Amino acid sequence: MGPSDKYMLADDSLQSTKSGFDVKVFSHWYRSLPVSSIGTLQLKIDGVKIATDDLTIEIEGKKFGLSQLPELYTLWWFILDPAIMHFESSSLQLKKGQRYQVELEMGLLIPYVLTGKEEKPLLASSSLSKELICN
Amino acid sequence: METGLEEVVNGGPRMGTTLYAFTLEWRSGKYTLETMLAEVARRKLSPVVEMVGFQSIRGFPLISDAFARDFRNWMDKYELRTSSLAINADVAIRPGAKLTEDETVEYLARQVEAAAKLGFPVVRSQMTAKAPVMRKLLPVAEKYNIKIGNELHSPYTLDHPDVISLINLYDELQSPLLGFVPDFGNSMHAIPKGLLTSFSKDGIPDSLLQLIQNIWYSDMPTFEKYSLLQKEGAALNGTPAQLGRLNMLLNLFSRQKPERWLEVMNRIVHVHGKFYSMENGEEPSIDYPALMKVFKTGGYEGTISSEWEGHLFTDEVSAFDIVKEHQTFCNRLLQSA
Repeated sequence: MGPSDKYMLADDSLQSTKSGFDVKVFSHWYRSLPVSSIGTLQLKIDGVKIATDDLTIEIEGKKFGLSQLPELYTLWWFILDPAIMHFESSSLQLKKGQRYQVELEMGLLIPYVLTGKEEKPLLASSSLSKELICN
Repeated sequence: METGLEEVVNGGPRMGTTLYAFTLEWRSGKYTLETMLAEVARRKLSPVVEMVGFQSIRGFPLISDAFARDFRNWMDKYELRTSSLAINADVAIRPGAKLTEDETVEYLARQVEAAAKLGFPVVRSQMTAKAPVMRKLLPVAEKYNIKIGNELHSPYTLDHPDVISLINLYDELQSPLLGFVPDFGNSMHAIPKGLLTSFSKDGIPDSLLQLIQNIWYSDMPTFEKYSLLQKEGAALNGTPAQLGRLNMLLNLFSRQKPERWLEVMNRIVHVHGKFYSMENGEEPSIDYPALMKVFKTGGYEGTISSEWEGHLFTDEVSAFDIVKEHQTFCNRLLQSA
């Protein structure tokens, strides 16, 4: 959506783990939002879409399934802190030191900008595609 | 004597600095809150500082005693002073059901308490806190002796029904603690070129760019323009994503005449001196000479924060440099107004 999109993925965002891999992601908004504001989150590695059922997300040291996010309206995602997406499956194995094209799409529901007659929160969507070395 | 860029001209408005202008610098991760405050001081920007609670403070609105002590020490160390703390009326944090009036009051009260703990005399709230909420919030303002201003930011011009309700409420309550925070994005005479360029780069077709300009330059109130944009944009085959981007323009800019701020001048508790670019020492899309004259001759004696928001569409500008240029420009206008 704008210049802050480039901060959604950092150079060290992709990390292999014992059981799969992690991707550190950052908000593209200018301020912290409650975790319930994460309306959509989609990850692709080298063009392969990662099923959301295979992902958990860690914020403030706590892990959640993506379907739980709408309930988390009292947990804050600080603007300078990453949310860590954990992929724990052997269905996609990444190699340390190898480069991967990581694509992230994130839609944030802005809780103070209401749109339309039903006054629904604005969905602010951004995407970023970045080549990352797996650490 | 070098006094930095705060100059109070005959008791009139003074310029201030908001850390929101440095959004990209903050996002870069190169600064802590302390080093950012130090940078404001080092560059001799106005020492009267505003910030957004949910941007600058981890854990906001919870303020620990240790953080409050550190913050007050930094402000003393760098010879800075607080102006307004921007708080948020996030009524739609819970999917499916907006916060009730009482929940919104409670949500805002916690943030007002945080502002008091940090020593801010004013908070900027938002128009999503409507008149019934603001009526219930008055005792909180009184408890902490803090002024609360609803930001009048596009599309909330003085013609908006929610703004009219608030003006009526504030006339009834007659409290010096409740008022407004005008945002100069509401008083623009042109769309910043940088935004149109960024839309074009993002693949929004010329037909839609022409449409949004026709709509924006038309004379109906901004809040009535959204439905027209949806209808005519759909007829031009605009996608929901494209029309969403164009909606953003209506969320940022309105064309209210500068002198209309006089209608609420006695209720203004803080001002956002929004700007997008400086060309040849002037802001090309906002009539700053007229605005500075209105606020000075209208008797406003508070802070006007230099709120650069060009970071929404460019990262090729140093926000620190452009804020300094803006403050120099505005001080010159205030002196001659």
